[in-house]
This record gives sequence, C-alpha cells and structure tokens, in this order.
Amino acid sequence: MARRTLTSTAAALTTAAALLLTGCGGGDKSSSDDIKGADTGSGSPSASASAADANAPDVSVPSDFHLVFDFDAPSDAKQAAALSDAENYIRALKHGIVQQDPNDPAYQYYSSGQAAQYAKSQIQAWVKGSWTVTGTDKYYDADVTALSGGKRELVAFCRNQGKSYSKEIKGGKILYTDENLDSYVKYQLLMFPPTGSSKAWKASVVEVKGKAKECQK
Amino acid sequence: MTRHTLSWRLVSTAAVALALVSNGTAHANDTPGPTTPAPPTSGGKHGKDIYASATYSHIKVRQVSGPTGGKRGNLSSVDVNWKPPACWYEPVFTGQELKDFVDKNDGDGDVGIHESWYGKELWTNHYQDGKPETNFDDEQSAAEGYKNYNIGKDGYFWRSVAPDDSASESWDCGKIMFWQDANVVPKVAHAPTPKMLAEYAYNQVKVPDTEIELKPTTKSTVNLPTWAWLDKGTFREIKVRAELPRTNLFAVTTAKPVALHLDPGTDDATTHPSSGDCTINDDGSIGTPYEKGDAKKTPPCGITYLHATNGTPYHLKASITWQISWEGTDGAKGDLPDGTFDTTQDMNVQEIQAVNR
Repeated sequence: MARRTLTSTAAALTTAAALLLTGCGGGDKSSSDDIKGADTGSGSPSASASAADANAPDVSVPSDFHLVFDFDAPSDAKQAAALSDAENYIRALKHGIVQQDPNDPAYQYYSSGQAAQYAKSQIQAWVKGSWTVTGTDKYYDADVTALSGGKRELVAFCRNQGKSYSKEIKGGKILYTDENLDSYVKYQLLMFPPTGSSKAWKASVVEVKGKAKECQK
Repeated sequence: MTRHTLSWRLVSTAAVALALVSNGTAHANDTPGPTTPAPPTSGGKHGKDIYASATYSHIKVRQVSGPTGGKRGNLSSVDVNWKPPACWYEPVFTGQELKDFVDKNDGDGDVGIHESWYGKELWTNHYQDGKPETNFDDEQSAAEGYKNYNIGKDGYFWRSVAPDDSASESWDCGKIMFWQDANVVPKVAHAPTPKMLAEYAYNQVKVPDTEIELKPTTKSTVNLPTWAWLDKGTFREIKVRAELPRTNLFAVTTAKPVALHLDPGTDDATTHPSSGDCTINDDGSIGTPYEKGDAKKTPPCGITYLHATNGTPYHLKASITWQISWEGTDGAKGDLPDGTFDTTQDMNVQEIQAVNR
C-alpha cells in the first residue's frame, strides 16, 4: 500500500509541471477525419436529457472540432441523465476553451466544487497559451455506478485525444501530435442530481488519469 | 497488487498558471493543461511523503502470537460477499503538522480520497483563513473553514483513507479533511471502529501452508487408503493486533484452525470421512497418524484412490478452515466469516500389484 502511495503522490504532483512540458510531437496528421456520429457545425445541440431545459447554456463548439461521445445510454433514467450531463460537462469545458473564458457559465451550470475548479484551471491554461481546440476528440466505454443507493452517480469513461489538437488562435497553426499512450485518458466524475431550479446533474469531483492503458484499443 | 492508477485530481489555478509561465508553449496531444498527465516512472520531489496520500493508512498491524515461519499465505473468506472495509477516516495531522505539511509541500496532497488539492492557496484558504468548502458526501454538506489550522487546540485533522481507490465504495468517504478534538472518535459515517480494524487485519493474517502428513508418503495404491493427518501443534491459533495511532482504537483478531477438508482431485476416489471434512481433535491434531499394520484399516481422515494415475498426478487439495473472532477497545467483540487456505499436493497412484509397503 505504501508503495502505491508513493508513486501515486509523486506522479500526481509532478503532473502539473510535466504535462506542460510534453512536447508537441511531429507528424503530419490531417485534422479532418470525419467520424460518424461526430458533432459538426457550430449549432450542434448538447446531447441531452436536458434538451428540454430552457436554462441550459450553449455548449456548442466550432465545426472543425468534433466531439464524439460513443456512449450506450443506461436503461436507468437517473443514470442516463447523469451520463448525459457528464457529457455536457466535457462539452462545456471545451466551449469555455473556444470562448477563451475561464468564467464561462456553461461549465458552471454542469459542475460545482472541485470539478468546477478543474474546468476553470483547464480553460485558464488554454487561454494562457492562446490555444483553441481542433480535430476529433473521442469519448467511449462509459460506465455509470450508483453510489449510496443512487444519491450520487459515479460516471467513468475513456478518452482518446490522439486526433484532438491545439490550434494557435493567432495565425491558426495546428499543433499536431502523434497518437501514443498519452492519448488515452480515463475520467471519473462524481455526479449529483439536480437541486433547486436546475435540471442538470452536476459534476462535483473529477478525477483524470493519464496514460490509461485500459482505454487503449 | 499492481499499482494501476496515477490520478490527477485538482490543480489550483495558481499551479497551472505558474507551470505555464515557466514552460512556455507546450502541447501534449491536444492539451496544454492537466488532462494529459505525463507522470514520471519514479518519484517526484514529494514522492517520499506518505502524508500526502489518502491511499496510505496509518493503521499498525502486527502478529502477536502463532507461527511466523515457513511458507504462509492469506485467508480467503468463505463468505464471497464479505469485503474488507473500502474506506474510513483516520487522524493524520495536528494543526501544526498540517501547517508544516502545507508549507513544505507547497500545498500538494490529498484532502481526501478522490480529492487532491494542488496549490498552497487552496489549503491556506480553507485551513488557515476560514474559507468554507463543500464535501462530496451524499448531502454535499458544508465543510466549515478553520482559523490558522486550529494550532494550539488539542486534536487532529482526520482524513479519509481507501486502500483501493479504484473501488466505487471508496467514494463513500466524501468528507474532506476535518478537525476532531483529541480522545474522541468522530461521529460520522465510516468512522473507524474496533470491528473495522479487525476486518482490516483479516486480510493481513498470514496462515501457514497446509502441508499434511500422508502415508504412504510417495505413492498411493489403488483401493488402499492413504492416511492423512496433522500433528498437534502444526496448526495453532494466530493473533493479529491492529491499532489506529492517535486513537484508543484497537482490535485483536484471532484465527483458529477448526477443520481440514480433503479434495482428492478426481472423482475416482473416496474420502474418509465421505464428506472430506476431517475434524480437529481436542488436542489440536487432525486425523490419526498411520501406524504399521494399519494399511487395510479405514483411516479417520484420508483418501482411497480407485484408479491409478497415468503419468499425470492427481492434485490433492487440502484446505484448512479458520474461525475468525476479534476483541477490541472497550470490550467490543465479534466474529468474522470463516476463512480458508488451500495447499495442493501431487498424488501418484499405482496399481495394486505394485504394492510395496
């Protein structure tokens, strides 16, 4: 146990610095792979159970950025809603990057606490670098687990960001990278049911694990 | 247990901004931010600080009696639904210790299982300057802020611990690190108890391999019983003490061998008794040692193979059942599900005409 602890701590801590050092790989990848089911067009709606939610914020992204969520909807309505709004949280985070707005209302609508801070810190990092998103960003292998008899839902899914790139806002240069183990990321989001007037499930904790071998396929 | 995750949890805005300033442009796949952790394979500068992590428990477990040498292994619960505790809370820091921790690590560490704070400001805001936070328990209860880490008060900051942070039950401990006055166990769900310590110890009890005595020793003969026994003293009860430092909580867990079960490893055999369950005698021995002239008697514990092996030995499995009980703080006591531990021995069985005793 102690062994796990040491690695875990070291790695997590070092991550903050290390990930920023990760160089842009070479590679002349095309960014135009069209993926079936991908969102296209800036007006794409959010995935959602909250489609009927008049207060739901815009989470759309530009047409050169394809967000692909290859999720099977759980049969349980609560779990389906939790998964759908976990997806919206990811969309909202991307929306915030596109808008270059660390205080974008979109992610705040779908998150609280640590998960909201995480989204904010992510957006800030992209704003700082003057980057936006492009390419194809794929999410799959979703799993929803009821916690405390359904008072909370734990949503987990994989991500392959191998064809998702950053693009310099000034000049539009795309920073291509190779697909490798760094492309695979595992997310766990702790989702809480809607409260008050909100119809959205909110992510309160997000755990992101890099180099996720279990997501490699 | 293989270490399987390297979790990224929370980056304070300060940490990200700082890192960006120092590193200029960088792009890992698409992401300049922390969604693309690239953890090193060996330790970072805080890598040796066990206090940073909520997967490290401070519970001390030691064996206080029973055999310690030889080949040993862990028990498996006969109740397949039984699980060791997934998460609990334990005291980690005094106020001063927390302050030192935050200063030394620049505030990088776990504030609970599944929630880590990276950036000193997050820690000082809550534990020094009183900013309230929210727990991720069922109620999303409020976590009141603290003044100057409660330095000068007698007590500890308690934090959640989960040995396996990939278990979904590990999310059940949703309170971030909180204060509790000394000599009191917090009245919260998943607070540690003597029973919990006993359950924690259960997985760490090491029992000896079940090497049973067999006669004949090298080869059995078709239709002639093989005697099986264990001398008294081979299996003795084992006591393990688990205690949680900075509390008065402890539990002594006792594993007592109560039965030997024989599985001949083939349907072409009969066991003695027919159930295969050899009970433990009053003196702690099992079965009866073979004595000259017993060859054709039916042993109280043993096996008769009905077919010879043909080059490939049968795998005789001997499993010992251990009864588990515990006693702890303030006279608390109870039982845990029986545990078993198996050992497999190869058995060659020859035709009767080759008998040679």
